[in-house]
Amino acid sequence: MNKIFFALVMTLFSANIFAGNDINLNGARSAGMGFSSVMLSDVWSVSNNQAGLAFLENPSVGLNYRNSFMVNTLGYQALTMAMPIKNTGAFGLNVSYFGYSQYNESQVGLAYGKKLSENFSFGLKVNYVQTKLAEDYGKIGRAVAEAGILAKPTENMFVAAHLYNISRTKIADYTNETIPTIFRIGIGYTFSEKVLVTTEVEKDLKYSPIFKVGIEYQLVEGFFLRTGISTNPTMNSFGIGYKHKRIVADLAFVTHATLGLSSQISINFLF
Amino acid sequence: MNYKHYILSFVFVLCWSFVFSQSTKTDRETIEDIIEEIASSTDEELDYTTLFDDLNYFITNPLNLNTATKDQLEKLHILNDFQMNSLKAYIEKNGQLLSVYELQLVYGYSVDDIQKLFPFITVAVGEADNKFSLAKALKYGNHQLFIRTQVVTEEQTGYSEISDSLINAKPDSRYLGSNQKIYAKYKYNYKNFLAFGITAEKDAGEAFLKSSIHDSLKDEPFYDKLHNGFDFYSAHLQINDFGVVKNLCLGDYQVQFGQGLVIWSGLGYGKSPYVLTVKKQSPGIKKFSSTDENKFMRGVGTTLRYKNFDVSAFYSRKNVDANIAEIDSLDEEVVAVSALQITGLHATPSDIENKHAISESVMGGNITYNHQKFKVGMTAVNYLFGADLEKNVSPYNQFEFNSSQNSNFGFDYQFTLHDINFFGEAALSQNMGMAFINGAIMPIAPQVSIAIVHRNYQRDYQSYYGGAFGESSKISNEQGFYIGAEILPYRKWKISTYFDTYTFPWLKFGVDAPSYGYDYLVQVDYSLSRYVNMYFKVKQEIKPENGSSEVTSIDPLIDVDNFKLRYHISYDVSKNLSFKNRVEYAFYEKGAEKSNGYLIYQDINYRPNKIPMTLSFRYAIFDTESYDSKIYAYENDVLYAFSVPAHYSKGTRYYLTLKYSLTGRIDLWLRYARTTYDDKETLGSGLDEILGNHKSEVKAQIRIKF
Repeated sequence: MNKIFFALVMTLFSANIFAGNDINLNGARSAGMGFSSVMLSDVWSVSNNQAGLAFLENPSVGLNYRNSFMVNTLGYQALTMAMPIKNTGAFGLNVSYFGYSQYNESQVGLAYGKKLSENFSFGLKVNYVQTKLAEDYGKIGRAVAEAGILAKPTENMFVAAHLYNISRTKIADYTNETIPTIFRIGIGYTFSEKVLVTTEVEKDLKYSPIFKVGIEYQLVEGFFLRTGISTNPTMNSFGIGYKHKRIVADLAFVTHATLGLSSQISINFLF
Repeated sequence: MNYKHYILSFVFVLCWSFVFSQSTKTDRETIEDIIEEIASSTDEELDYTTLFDDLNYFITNPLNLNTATKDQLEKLHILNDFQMNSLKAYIEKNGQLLSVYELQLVYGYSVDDIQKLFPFITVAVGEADNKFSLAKALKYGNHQLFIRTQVVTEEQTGYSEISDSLINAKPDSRYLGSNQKIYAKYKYNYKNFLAFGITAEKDAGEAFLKSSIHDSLKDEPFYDKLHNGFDFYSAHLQINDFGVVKNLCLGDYQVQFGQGLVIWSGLGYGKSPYVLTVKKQSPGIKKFSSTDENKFMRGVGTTLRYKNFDVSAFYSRKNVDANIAEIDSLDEEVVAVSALQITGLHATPSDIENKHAISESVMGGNITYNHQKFKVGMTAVNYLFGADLEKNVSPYNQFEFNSSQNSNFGFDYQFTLHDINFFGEAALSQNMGMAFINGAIMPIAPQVSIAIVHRNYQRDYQSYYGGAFGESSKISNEQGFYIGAEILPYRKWKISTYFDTYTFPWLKFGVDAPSYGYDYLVQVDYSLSRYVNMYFKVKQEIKPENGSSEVTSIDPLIDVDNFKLRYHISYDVSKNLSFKNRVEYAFYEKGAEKSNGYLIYQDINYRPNKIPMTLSFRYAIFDTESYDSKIYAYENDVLYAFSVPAHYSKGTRYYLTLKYSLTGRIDLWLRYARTTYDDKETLGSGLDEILGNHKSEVKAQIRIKF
């Protein structure tokens, strides 16, 4: 049963949900907010939008684990580090692995973000992505570049844009199989210290645009409630977050009408 | 009470008197605006009589905000739970309000809300006047009498001449009565303490006099079931706040408890541009004065209040319409029916056969414990029909109610924590089917409030009298998650939006597989000034239906896309003249079937200075490629009549409504409406068919107050 289900998932829905070597949006915080993440600034900016790194104040490390649709083989894990250095910018590194022994994707990336003025920054990242299929198929690796910008036009507002796979790198020439090129723009607005509302549009050149909306609400000091929606396919997400001194723990659940529940957990440590 | 409070209030009174002083709207227009807002969002011709009654009552007896109970505030239908709590908290902290303008200081009230509340509220310092005396009631109570008649002026097939032999062969080929609809209503109320009323109605086509029907039908068996007079009568008596009796209803009444999973007769709000109005207020038992001829209770119902407990009980017995499937050959009793009828139309011989075919008994009760911070309740209902309901069972409806008796039991709650208002209900039907609804409304920042609702209605939950939040009208076979937000980004702007996703785990009528869909709405309101208001609305719904396949005999599901775009502006041109304009675009797509539709209208409302009358005129042009891209629009009508026609095909529609106050006690209404189609030669079908391309309707109504 599980295998049939897996096959169904991979053939019918993989394209939209996590096409091979898709951009890996990281962190249970953004997952709890409908995956809107381009305008956020935290350790996960290393994957979500490197321009956000420039606004970080502390060096930090994060671990992220995601499971899709309660299927064992659809696990994803990532380790991320960010290191802001005064007057130079912030550096970031991330390593991730998706899949299982018969099919997997792994990625290593180096990121850099820098403020160009008090309220405007840019960021870059270079990744090496490797896809492995078991038995005779072997593995194949490619370099993928991405870049983003983030601006704070007013104290409460964040506007950002990000492009993944700038060079439109292909996995293999003979099948014309490309790594997706994805453009995202988004706005975040903090209505008060307690409330952040985010919206994002994601466009994969090959598919219909995805609209995302998220809300983060600080119920009491250090405790966050989140919810959000993303379209194409429609998914509701819910999340909670807890911040205690130097530790931030986030948990998110995402529901898909046909495939069911996915969960994601991430833990960051701020130095 | 502190000084700051006084000074602030004073400043606000000054500023606000100026803002409100030039208001040209009459109170009735405000009610109409509120109902129009609700009506235009549902696209359904619902009965807003109760809502109208509640609001109309407050116009003559404005609610004193300082002493109002939460029950009374709920009846305003304008405030959400958070606003009510916020008002209570404000009064507790700062003392009683000194002026209604002071509401601006209460957290959670926008300018728009206050403008809407204005006609219905007052502020007086002191204790509530809640002593009832019969002498006062008889002396100061007010009486109103309404009589209305309306008629379609073109001849419809159902009323045309027919030969004796033809009607004998097919008795259903003509209506029994005349084409007039007649409605009469008497109502009496003394403040909020005592209400009494009688309503009578004859729909178009129903016979008023037994002798007036076609002579050759008089030997038919149904003739004995006909009676002289109106087809439908309803009467009610309601007493409130009489000692331990919170209320007592005799005659016709409606029952609404919890979140509606168990019982909710009458109007229940669903998704609308009031994106935060997702919680039901559970008003309990209250009088029924409208003309839905089937879904109401007839008998007795009461709520007793003892300390923090409200204990309610009701019993109802009446006959309802049903399609008879089987009659016992010996005693001629109906033993089975194939469907319950809810149209309330009894205009043909077969309608008369089905009329009041079986008995229906409903009994139930509720116990609620009220605490300042929370409220919990239990509701139970049992109902019994005089014959078995035997629907044609097909795969999609196999889990639905299909016998003669059923019970429902529910537990409901609501509480407030950190300004967040949680609510919900869990219910069980006799076959152990279950339904759950849970939600929360939270003001998360001064400018942002959100509401979330999750529901899970199992496919075998059976509730004949329920009415709860959801996508389908039935409370079963649905899981969904709704999130709505109201954002006030800048002064004068308001954004209301919701997004609702739902799955139907079992088949539905016309949907031969489990399915899922979603819909959303975004409405942006902009109040340029007191005189110019506008909004822009986008609404889209995507959910699947059976498509058609030429390859296999199994119809695959295909997504149906319904998209609507609306721009609406209302503005006052002068003290006497106000205009409204609307442009609406509709798009429908189901596979290869696509259609577009447009509606544009101009409204003119005129109130001359010297003559006590108001005049409302609309001219609308519509052009839709099919019925699927139809567009609804609420229309100004005579008091207690509500019309929300669907505009489709190609044509124009106009109406003129005139209200004239003969004296302070007598008001007259006249209305003429006409739709002309460009691309049709006949309209309607069956008995309602008109040989021509236009349909017109005349209405006249008189109200006498004494």
